Amino acid sequence: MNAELTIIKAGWSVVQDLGRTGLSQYGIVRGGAADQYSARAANALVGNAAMQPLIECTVQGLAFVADVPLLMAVTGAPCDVRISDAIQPAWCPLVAPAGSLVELRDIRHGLRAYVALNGLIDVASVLGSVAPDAGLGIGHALIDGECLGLTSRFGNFSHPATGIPLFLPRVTVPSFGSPWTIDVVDGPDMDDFGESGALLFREDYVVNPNSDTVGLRLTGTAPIRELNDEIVSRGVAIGSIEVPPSGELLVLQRGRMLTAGYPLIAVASTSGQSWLGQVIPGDTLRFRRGTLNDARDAARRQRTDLDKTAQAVATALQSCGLTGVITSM
Amino acid sequence: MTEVMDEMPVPGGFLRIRACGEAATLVEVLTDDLEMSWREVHGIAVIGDAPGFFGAVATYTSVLIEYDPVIHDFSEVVGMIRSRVAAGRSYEPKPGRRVIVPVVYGGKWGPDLEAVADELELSPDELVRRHHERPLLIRAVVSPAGSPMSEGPDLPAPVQRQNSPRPSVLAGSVALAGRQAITYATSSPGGWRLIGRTPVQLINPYHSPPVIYRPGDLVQYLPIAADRWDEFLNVPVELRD
Repeated sequence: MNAELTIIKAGWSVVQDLGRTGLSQYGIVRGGAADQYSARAANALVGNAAMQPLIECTVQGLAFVADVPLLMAVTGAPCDVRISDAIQPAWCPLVAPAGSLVELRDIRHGLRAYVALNGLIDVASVLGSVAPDAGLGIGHALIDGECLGLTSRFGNFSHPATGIPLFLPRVTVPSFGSPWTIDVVDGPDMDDFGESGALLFREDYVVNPNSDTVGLRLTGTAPIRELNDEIVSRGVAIGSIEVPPSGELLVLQRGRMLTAGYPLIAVASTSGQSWLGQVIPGDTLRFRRGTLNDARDAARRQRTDLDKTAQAVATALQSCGLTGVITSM
Repeated sequence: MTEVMDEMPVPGGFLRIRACGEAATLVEVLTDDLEMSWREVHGIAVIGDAPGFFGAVATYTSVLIEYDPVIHDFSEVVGMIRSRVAAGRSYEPKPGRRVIVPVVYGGKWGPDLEAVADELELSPDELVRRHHERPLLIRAVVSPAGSPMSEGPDLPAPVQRQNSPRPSVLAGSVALAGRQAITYATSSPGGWRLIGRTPVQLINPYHSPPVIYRPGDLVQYLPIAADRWDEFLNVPVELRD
């Protein structure tokens, strides 16, 4: 079934997904949702596959109307969700009747909210993804008044069972807001910092305004490197925490340049990276040291949890006679 | 092997393998044989194409491999790297491939040409001549997307970087830093010294593959007069083999 969404108020919203992979051999970055956890959760809550396009709203809200009933979910930082003026919960599947006004307002304690809609948003993917990439000149930013196409497998979500919160699938809702605790693992150059390396886990760091999707700049007492040798340019992971000579810390985000030559003191864990995609300039960060295996196990638990959420949603939709749901991968 | 590091001997030195968080592993080849190191890391990079992996960033003597931590972990990746190295499967580029990059040198296209020539105690014409007289070997295709980083031309000294990076370098800018050369395939911030600019298109995200040159290919820079800019504007870069 083909549907049309009319965007009444676009805010700073883009069509987004988890990013493009397998392209770093060409120097192409992954990009994708800054808060990968919330993006995955949103798709899981509406019975979409994890990699399907959704809408990423930054700072500002969003308002739209669809010409058919929608199965949708809003995740990310806390915000007010209204359907035809009635307040609705976030982090939960919702049905918006045909023609109703859907509004997202007042995103707070974090930078971004995510809106997933059951079905496939009609935006061309480039190199396997719809994620915007400013350098390549690709991506779809929403504009006021535009009509966005949506193809859904289902004819109608106006089923008696979906009109009431018959099921609230269990999903772990993170706690958003400053001060943020970011789990990290020691980086390859941690030993170069000697005793001062431990400062990273004792000090508060404040997010500078000149932070973006390439990297966050942090003010605070930076650890001091004892060695003086130059580090040759090498590949750097998303979430890398670098200590350049200037004394500011740099935390690399999903749009980062793929190589760098600054000392790498720590790397944010996968879940930490999602929170780093939510921090607002002025927010305080505290880094919590953990082992590599702890970080790996936490990533696996988090994904297993989301898979269970996706499974629960699929089961519930099937029991309402809405079959053919794709579960997250 | 520790939880976060492993080392393995290779001819003339050793390989150091370190975890960079639970979703990436960094391999560095530490030997005097730079050519061998380069072939080794670009050979190891292929692991980045396997299922559950997100790709690899290979430079001169290092490679970073990224993966889904739900599917792979450090000790497993170490095993894959060791197998690959032990099997002697290093990178063997196909020889004789060269990309032709027409360049308008100096002026507004290469605002740092005169200053760099001055620092090297060469005339601007001599610097230009040395830049294009021999094809240069591409060692890596890096950020910004699609940019060929190569061995630099034969110059009396390394080229100093900008004191502070330019917030935006125009796509197509031809640049030098240290002993290396690069062409910025897309616009990005940059700290290299700009000596010219090319009108041709180096990367096309709507094409498969988006970039036609690879490490081991040669870049042949070709001086053109400014009035030929439009003739080459956005024409896909030519590869000859």
